[in-house]
Amino acid sequence: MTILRRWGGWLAIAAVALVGLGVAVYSPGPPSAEARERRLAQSVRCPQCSGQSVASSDTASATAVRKLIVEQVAAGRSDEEIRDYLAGRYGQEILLDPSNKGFDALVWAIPVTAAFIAVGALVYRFRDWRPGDRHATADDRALVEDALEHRR
Amino acid sequence: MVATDARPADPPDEPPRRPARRRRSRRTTAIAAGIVGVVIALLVVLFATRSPVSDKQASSKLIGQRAPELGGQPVLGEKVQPGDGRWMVVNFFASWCVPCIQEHPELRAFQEQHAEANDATIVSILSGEDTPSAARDFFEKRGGDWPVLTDPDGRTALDYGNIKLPESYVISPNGYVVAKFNGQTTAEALDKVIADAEAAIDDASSGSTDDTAGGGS
Amino acid sequence: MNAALGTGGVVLGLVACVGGIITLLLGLSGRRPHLLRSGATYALMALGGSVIAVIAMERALITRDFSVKFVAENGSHSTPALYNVATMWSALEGSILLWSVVLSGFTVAVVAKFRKRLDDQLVAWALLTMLAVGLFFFALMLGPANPFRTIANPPIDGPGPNPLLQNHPLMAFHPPILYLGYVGFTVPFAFAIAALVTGRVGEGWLVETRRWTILAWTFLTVGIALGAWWSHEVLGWGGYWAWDPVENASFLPWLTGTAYLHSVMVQERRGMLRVWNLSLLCATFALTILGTFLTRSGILDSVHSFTESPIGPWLLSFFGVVVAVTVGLIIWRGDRLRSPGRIDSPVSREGAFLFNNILFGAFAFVVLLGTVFPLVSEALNGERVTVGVPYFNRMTMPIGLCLLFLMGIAPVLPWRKASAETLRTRLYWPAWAGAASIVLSVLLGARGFAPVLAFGLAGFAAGAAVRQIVLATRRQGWRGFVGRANGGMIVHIGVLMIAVAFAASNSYQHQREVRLCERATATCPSTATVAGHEVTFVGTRTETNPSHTAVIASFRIDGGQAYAPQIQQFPNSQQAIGKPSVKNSPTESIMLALLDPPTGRGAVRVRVIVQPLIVWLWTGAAVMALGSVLAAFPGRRRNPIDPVSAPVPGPAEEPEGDDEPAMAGAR
Repeated sequence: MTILRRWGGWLAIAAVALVGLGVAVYSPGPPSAEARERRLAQSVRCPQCSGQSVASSDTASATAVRKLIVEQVAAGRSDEEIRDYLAGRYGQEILLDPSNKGFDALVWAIPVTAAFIAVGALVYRFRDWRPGDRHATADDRALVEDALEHRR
Repeated sequence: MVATDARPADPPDEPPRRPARRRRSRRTTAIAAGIVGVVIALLVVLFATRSPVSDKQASSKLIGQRAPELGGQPVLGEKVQPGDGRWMVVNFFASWCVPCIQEHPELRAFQEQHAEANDATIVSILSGEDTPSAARDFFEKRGGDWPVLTDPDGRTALDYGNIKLPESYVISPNGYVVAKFNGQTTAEALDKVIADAEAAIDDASSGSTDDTAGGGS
Repeated sequence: MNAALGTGGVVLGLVACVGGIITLLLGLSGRRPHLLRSGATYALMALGGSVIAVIAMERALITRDFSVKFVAENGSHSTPALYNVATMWSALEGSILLWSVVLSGFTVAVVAKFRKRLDDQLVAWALLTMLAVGLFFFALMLGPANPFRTIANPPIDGPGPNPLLQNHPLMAFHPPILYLGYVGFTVPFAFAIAALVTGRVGEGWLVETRRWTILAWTFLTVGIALGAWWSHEVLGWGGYWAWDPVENASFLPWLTGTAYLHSVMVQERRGMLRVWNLSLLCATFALTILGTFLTRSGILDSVHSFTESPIGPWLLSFFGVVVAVTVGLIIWRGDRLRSPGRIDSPVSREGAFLFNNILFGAFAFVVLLGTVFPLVSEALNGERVTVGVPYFNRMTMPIGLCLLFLMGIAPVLPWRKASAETLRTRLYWPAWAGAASIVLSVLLGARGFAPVLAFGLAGFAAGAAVRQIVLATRRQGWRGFVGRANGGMIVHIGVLMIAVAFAASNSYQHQREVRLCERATATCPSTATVAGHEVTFVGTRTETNPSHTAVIASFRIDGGQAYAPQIQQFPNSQQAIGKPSVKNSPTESIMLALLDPPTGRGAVRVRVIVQPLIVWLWTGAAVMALGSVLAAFPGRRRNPIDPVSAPVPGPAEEPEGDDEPAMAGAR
């Protein structure tokens, strides 16, 4: 009974939040061709720019690459194949995402490893901590009364 | 302070743990600082050994591959394709591009040297953002007598992996990409590439004794 | 004449710095207070020198004195006045000049603020450090980045600055404000070095420099926000943050600086996390130098490309020296940095700030790794890879979500320890705010796990911030808005606005390229509908200015006023620059970018981009600035023993945490 009163509101919060997130996550069907093209275009660098994706560049080479992506998506190639084709022409650096194989996987692996180390260090540092209510004891109160009286 | 007599090793009036903690935390700080220092030192070394981006030589993925077909329509001259029996220099340019203007006399010199033997030619590909009339003006003003093709969709540029202007690709007479020049080139450099490639082919065909060597260039 | 005057100013500055350093060293070693006090004179001389140099440069620019090489390369007769003045910081040498004058200004300000204590060793060492940094920058201007080189045959006209630096007034404001932020961090850094050298690593120097740090941080925040705003207005793709190396270079010191501002509260309150604070502060300063190096050396590919110069090795060496000195000092003073207490509980305000440090450190680490990884891969693997927006977004998203969560619980956590009871009571309404945000955003059409979760956490954090302010104003009236804790809550609200806008505009953007004609035909309409907004083509015209010609096309959006994107042609550049036009409303921004000049048949191609909540980005940054100004406001000093809340009732509830931390005061 008391548990419900203490935690009832929180359970309601959790329920509302989860329902909301559930609705948000529910996605009707696989991504459309346009969405695929857009995502691919955002992951390929414009060849003659310095870091912009072909989705955000107006140069001739960017337009050409976007057209190629549209053609290849229509031809039924997978995302991986299209990216490999472009990398074969321009080199690996045309892809805005370092690949997750070989040396380049380090750029993904290093932060994740560092995160694990950090969490581990924190757990070790606070290994002696136990959650628990600590209340003001009579001794503590006496101390505070004493200090207040003497200061005034 | 109550003196303990159970453990004669501990001096009784010294707080037992603090010296160890002080040493340990100082050592931890030193180790952490040391690690940070080493990592940053490596970073500094890394930066010190990098050259600026514009110096970067891009090695083309196409070297050793068949040269892609040239698209577009001729603005000057007639349309040609790589692998027609001549060495071909496919040069990407635009009429406004200052390094292209600077390299143009070199291309002219190269073309004139090989015009008689007709063993090598240049083919200029006009940038998709440029107009044919600008190209005609360019060649009228600066001379040059070789095919110039358009590339309205940028498809040829894409097929060759063209990034900046100017770029030149040297293609062997049987249609394979042999070298790529990032930026300006000279007649001498082009001739050297051709000479080196021909020497390599001669070595290959005369050096092997076991296999029947394929014929010439 | 300008060149001679300018060079004279630079030499004066250099000599002043050298003289000041020597004098201060003599004063410190021999304990001669009068020498220490004369350090002020040298600081004034250095400022005088840099001001003379700036005046000389601006005079050269305004009078179009093309005998000065910098003006010949960057100035032009056809540049309008505002941009002409701003041309000084549009290229490398002038921006080093700007850095010097701002640094000299801050040095003199420090001297003025501490004028009664110039014979204090701490202040003297701080002044010495600032003069040493100033020496470096003046030396740069006499070496590789000399703005006053002359040329023998001056040209008749110059090319003018890059057209993209001339078509928006924000160009005049973004760099100086950004530099005020960068250079501003030199002040707390100098005091940190002074504290380490003198061994007085207690809390005194922190308290003294608190407002300087907040000031520098405010300028840096506003500077970065102005840069993002400028990109959005000018680039025509609706983007404002591209994780470009130069942008990251300015973001890295912001991250460590923000972590420092939070973590320093733990040191003031309980004397802990000293090594963290010193490291974060020195890292912030070092990162400003490293950032300048990465931007100016040309080793990283960036849209903000600057012309190369031999300044790279100098900056890199200076960075190395700064790091070596800092690390060495921290190791040397390691034992004095040991704190008197330990963090007992991770569920406490100190624990939250420790986690905060770690999260911001991780954030900075990821951004730095992504920025330099192309270089690492080139060195070790032979092939250069590109690390672009997808990497950064994916890697920083979890960190961002954790930070949002922390922003929600940290304000309600008491110091030393918190019980489940406390959290349950205090977080109740913020949690409802979070759940309501999720529901509201889903009802408004938001989909996707990450954005909606971000909205929920932002609502949660906003609830905690608002709760704090409401409680404070109930207790203290209008003073509930000022002071560090309350101002900080307002800054948090600004950050949350930006976080929500970032998530929304990245996830829910609509864009389309349409072809419209003035007279509607079957194949070419005059109106198009994009994301529920009607865009009608009204007409075109051409405009000729002294600095450029422009083709302007007008459109009506939803029948309202006309918006006119343009394509501008500058005389000294071959490429035409598009200038988009944006209609901003509190919920949406509609950007029109003209793609091609109108054809003979009166058809135009225009890109229409509809983005939600863009205005929240700039407003959020303004709120952050307001909040930090409020935070710097002096709060009411209270007797630490005065009770701030109701007396401790029974064992079931703990008293409210106080909002103004007790000044530790120990020097």
